Amino acid sequence: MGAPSAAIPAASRGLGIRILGELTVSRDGATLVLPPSKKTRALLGYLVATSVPQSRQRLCDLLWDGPDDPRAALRWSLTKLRPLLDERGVARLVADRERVGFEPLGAHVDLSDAVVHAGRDVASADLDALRRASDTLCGDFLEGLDLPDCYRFHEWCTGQRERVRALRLSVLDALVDRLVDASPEEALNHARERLTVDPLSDVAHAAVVKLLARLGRKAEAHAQVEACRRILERELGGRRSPALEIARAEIGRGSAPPPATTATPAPGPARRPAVSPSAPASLTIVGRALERSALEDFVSTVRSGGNRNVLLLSGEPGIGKSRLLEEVASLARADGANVLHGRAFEAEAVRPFGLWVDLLREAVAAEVDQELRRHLAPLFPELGESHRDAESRARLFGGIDRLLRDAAARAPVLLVIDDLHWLDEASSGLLHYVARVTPGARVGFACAARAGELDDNPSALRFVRALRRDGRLLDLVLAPLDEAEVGALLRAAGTGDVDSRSVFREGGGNPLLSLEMGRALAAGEENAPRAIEDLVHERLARLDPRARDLVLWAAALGREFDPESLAAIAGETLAGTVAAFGDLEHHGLVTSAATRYAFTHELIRKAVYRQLSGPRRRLVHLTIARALAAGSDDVGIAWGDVVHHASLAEDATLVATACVAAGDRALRMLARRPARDFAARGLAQTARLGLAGLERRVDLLRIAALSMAMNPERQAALEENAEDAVRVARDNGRPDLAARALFALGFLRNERGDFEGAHEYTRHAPVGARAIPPAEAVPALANAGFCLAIIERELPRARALLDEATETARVHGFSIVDIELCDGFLAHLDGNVLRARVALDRGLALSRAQGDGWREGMALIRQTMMAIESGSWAAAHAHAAELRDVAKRVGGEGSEGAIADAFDALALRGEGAPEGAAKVDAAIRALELADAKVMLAYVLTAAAEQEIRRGELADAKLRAEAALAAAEPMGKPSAIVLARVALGRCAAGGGDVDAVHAHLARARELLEHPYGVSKRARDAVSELAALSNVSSNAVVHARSAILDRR
Amino acid sequence: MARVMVEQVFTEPLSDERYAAFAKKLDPCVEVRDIAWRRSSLSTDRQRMVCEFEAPDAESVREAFRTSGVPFERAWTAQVYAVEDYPERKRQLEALLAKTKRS
Repeated sequence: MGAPSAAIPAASRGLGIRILGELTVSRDGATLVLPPSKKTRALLGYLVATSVPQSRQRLCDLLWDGPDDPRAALRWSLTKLRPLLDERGVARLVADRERVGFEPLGAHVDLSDAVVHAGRDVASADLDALRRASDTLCGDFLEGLDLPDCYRFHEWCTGQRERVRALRLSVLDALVDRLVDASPEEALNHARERLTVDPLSDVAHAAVVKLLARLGRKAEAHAQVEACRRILERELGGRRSPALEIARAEIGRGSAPPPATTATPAPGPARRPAVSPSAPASLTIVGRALERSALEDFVSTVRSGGNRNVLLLSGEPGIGKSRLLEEVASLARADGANVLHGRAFEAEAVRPFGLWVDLLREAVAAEVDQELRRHLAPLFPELGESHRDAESRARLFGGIDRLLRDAAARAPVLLVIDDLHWLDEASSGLLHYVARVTPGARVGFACAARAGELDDNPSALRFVRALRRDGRLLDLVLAPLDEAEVGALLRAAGTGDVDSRSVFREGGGNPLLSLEMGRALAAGEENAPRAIEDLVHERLARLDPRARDLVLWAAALGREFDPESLAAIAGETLAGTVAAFGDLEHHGLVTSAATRYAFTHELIRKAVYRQLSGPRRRLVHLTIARALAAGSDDVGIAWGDVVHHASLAEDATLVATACVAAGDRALRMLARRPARDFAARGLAQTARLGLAGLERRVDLLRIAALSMAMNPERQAALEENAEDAVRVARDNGRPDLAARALFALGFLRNERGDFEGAHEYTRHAPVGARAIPPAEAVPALANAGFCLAIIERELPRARALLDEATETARVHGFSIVDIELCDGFLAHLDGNVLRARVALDRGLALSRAQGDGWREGMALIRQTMMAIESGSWAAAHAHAAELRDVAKRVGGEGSEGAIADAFDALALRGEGAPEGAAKVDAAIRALELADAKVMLAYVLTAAAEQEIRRGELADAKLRAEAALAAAEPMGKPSAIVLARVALGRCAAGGGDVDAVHAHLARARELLEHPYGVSKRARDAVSELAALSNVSSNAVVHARSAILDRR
Repeated sequence: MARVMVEQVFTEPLSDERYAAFAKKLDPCVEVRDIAWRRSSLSTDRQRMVCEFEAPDAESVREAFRTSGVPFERAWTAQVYAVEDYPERKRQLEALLAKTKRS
C-alpha cells in the first residue's frame, strides 16, 4: 500500500527510478523490493537507461550468453520486472516476440532528470538547474551492479559510467566558473567535488588552489599544491603541471590568511572506545535447533556412505549460511571426517575449476601415484606434464573421482563449498560429475547459496535441480531469527544491554544485520543506521587512518587475501599491515585463519568497497592488476584476477594482455568455454586499441579458434575479424602478425569442416613468418591429413596437409602423433616401407605416451599389415598380440580384437600351421559380424593370395569374390584393385584368358581414380598385365610358375 | 548401405552444447566416409543415446567417431523392422496416437 497521494511531495509521486547510485525503484515515495537476481536488476537498469526497444537477442547476448535457454531466462526476468514497472492501465514494459523496451510514461528517472537540468549546452544552463543536476549526478551509474562474467554488459556499463562522469565534470566545471566571483565558497565546494571525480587532473587541483588563494586560505592552498605534486609523482611519474605552477603563483596574491583554526579540516566523529565483539565466525550458534539436528543426520549419512550426501543451505545474505557450514564442518571433523574447504568468488567466476584447485590443493600435495598425477596435471601444473587429447577432460574428472574415493577409503570426506551461486561453469560441471558418481563412497558435499542469485547461474542451478530430482539433496532454507533468538545472539556477541526488540524490529531477524546494529548501539550510536552500508561506514570512521586505508585496499582485492600481498600492493610494511589488521579484527570487520584474512561477510566487504569513490576505485584496481600481473612466473599469476581488476580499472591494454594469458591457461586446463569467454572479452578491448592492440588481437583470435565452442554466428564474426586482422597487419607492414592471423583463420575454417578453405589460408601463411603458431593448431592440420590417409581419399591433399603440419611442427619442435601416423600410412601406400616403419614406430610411441588406445591400435594394424605383406610371420604374430592387448583398453567396443585374430590366423596360414585355415575362417566370420568391410576385404584378399600360391584356386576365387563384394561399397580403389587382381590370377591359374583380361581392364580403370591408388595395387596390376600378355599356352606355363612359387 | 546403430553412454548429462560440439566434430568425418545421420534418441536423463546412420559399414562409423574423438560404447549393423512394413500394426499405432491426441 502506498501513502495517500496528498501527503506525498509532487516530486515523489508516481514511479521513481534511480540508476545513479544503487538501483532503486519507488512508488509514491515508498521503496519497492527489487528481485534478488542480479541479472534481472541489470536488465531493469539497461532497459531504463536505454529507453528504446531492444531486440530479445541483444538482451540475451548481454546477460544470458550460454548454452542454456537464454530466451527463457529473459522471459523469467521480465515477469519479475513487470509488477515493479507497470501499474493499472499503464504498461511501461512493452514486449513483443522480437523486442522489449521501457517507456517512462510519467515515471521519474534520475539520469533523465539530470540530463534535462543540465540541458543540451551545459554552459548556458540555468544556475539552479546546474545545482540540481550536480546533486543528481553524485552517484555512480548502476552502483554495485557489476557482472564480471557478462562482459558485454560490463562494457556497456563502463561506457555509461564514463558518460555520466563526463557530464558530471562538465556540470561541476560550469558551476565553478559561474560561482567563482559571486560565491567563491560554494565554487570551492564544487571544485573539491570535481577533484574527487578526477583526482589526477592537475587543472582540477589548480582550480582548488586558486579558490583557496582567493579566499585567503594560503596554508591550505600550499598544502593542496603539495598534495597535487605527490599524486602526480606517484601516479604519473612526476609530470610537471603548468596549471599548478600558475595557481601556486597566485597564492601570494590572495588576501590575508584567516586564523589557522579554519584551515583545519572538520574533525571526524569522536573515536569511541570500541566494543570488543568476537568475530561472528566464532559465535555460538543461536537457535537453528532443527537445522543443527539435520546437520548431525547429514554427517552420519556421509559417514555411512548414504545416498543423500549433498547438503544445500540457502537463504538471504547475512542469514547465517556460512556459520552453519562451519558447524557442519566441525561436526564432520569431530566425526573423524577429512574436511576440504572451498569458496566460489564473484570476481572469480572466470577462473575455470578455481573451486577445485582450492579444494584439492592440499589433498593433491599428498602422495599420488604417477598415473593420477598425469590425470590431474591440467589443474595442478606442479604435478608435471599433462597430455592433451580428446579424452583428457574425462581422465581429469575420473582422476578427481579416484582421488576422493581413495581418501574416503581411509576416512569420510566432506567438501564444504560456500557461495555456490558464484561457481564457475567448469567447476559446476566437475561438481555435478563427482556428486553423481560418489554415492556410497563416503564423500559428502555441504554447499551454501543465495537462493535468488542461484537463478543467475545456470550451471550451478542445473546441478542443484538434478540432485534434487534424484533425491540426493538435503535442502535447508534458513528463515530469519525470532525476537528471542536475536536477543540471545546479541548477548553472545557481548554487545551489552542493547534494546534487542528494536534491533529485531529494524533488522528483521537477519543475524548479520542484527549484529551490526547491536554493535553500533553498544558503541553509543543512539540512532543506529538501518542499512549495513551505513553501519559499516560508521565503523570505518572509528578506525585508525592506516587501518581504514588498508581495509579499502583489501575490499578491492577480494573476500580473502593474504597480508603479504596486500602490504606489497598498498605500499605498506608487513608489520604495519598486520598491526592494522589487529585493529580490524578487533572491530569485527575481518577474521584471520592460518596465514590469510577474510572479511567476516561478503556484505561487509561490499559495504567497505563502496566507500571508495569511482576514480579511487579505478586507481586501486589498476594498482592491484599491475601488481598481480608482475608476478615472478606465469604459473603463479592469477590471470583471471588480473582481467577482473584491469576491467574495473578500465585499462583496455592490460585487460587484453591478461585475457590472452588467461585464455591460454584455460585452454591448457581443458576449459574451452572460459577460454572462449576470455577471448571474446579481450577482443572487445582490442577493438578500442586499434593498431596498438593488433598483436593481442591476433593471439585472442587464435584462442577463440582453438576454444571450439562457438555458435555459427560467432564463428562467422570471428572469421570476419580474423580476415580484417590479416588486412590490417599487411597494410601496416606486419607480415608476421598477418601469418598468425591467417593461421587462426585456417583453423576456424578447418573447424567448420571447410578443409579447402582451411588449406587455402594455411597455405598462404608462410611458414618462416609464423612467429608463434599455436601448438594446438598443428594437430588439427595433421588430423585432417590423417583422416584422408585412413580413408584413402584425396591422397594428394592429405600429403599437402601433412607437409604443412610437419614443417610447422619441425620449426617449433612439436611431436604430433597424427603427423607420424599420417606419414606412416601415406608411406605405406607409396610402398616406402622403411619410411613407413620409422613413422609408425614414432606414432606408436607417442600414442602410448598419451594413452591414446585407438591411435596405438591404428599404428599396430598398419605395422601388422606390412609384416604380412612381407611374409614376416613372427613380426605379424608379435604385432597382433600387442593389438589384442590394445583392444581391451580402447574405449568403446571396436573391431581391434577381431582384426588381431585375423592377422594372427593369416600369419599361421602363412607359416603353414595346420590350424591356420580354420582360424582364418573364424576370423573372417568375426569381421563380418563386426561389419568392418575394408578390413574384411583385406583379410579375404590376403587369404586368397595365400590360397593361389598353394594352388587352391577354387577356394581362392571364392575368397577374392567375397573380397570384391566387401571392397566395392567402400569405394576404396586400392582394395577393389587388389581383389580384382586376385580374381585375375585365379582366372589365369584356370586358363581363362578372357576373364584375366576383363579383370585387368576393370583394375586398370581404377588406377586413374581421383582418390589415388596404392603402389602395392599398381604393382599387382602390372604383374597381372604381364600374365595377360602371354598366350593361352603361356598362361598354362604361368600357372605352373605360380604353383612352383608355393 | 547398412543401417548402423551407435550406442553412447555419458557420465554426466549430455548438454546441448556438448551435443552440438560432438556433431560439429563428427560431421566432417561422417561426410567423407559417405555416412548419413538418420536420427538420434536421447534418454530423458540425457545419459544414454542411440544414433542411427546409413553407412557403408559399421567400421566406417566407428572410425568416424574415433577420429573425431567422440566417445561411444558400441556400433553395430542392424536389420530394421519398422511399423510401416506391417499394415495391421501401423493401423493400431495410428489409432492409439489419434486416441492419445484426443484425450
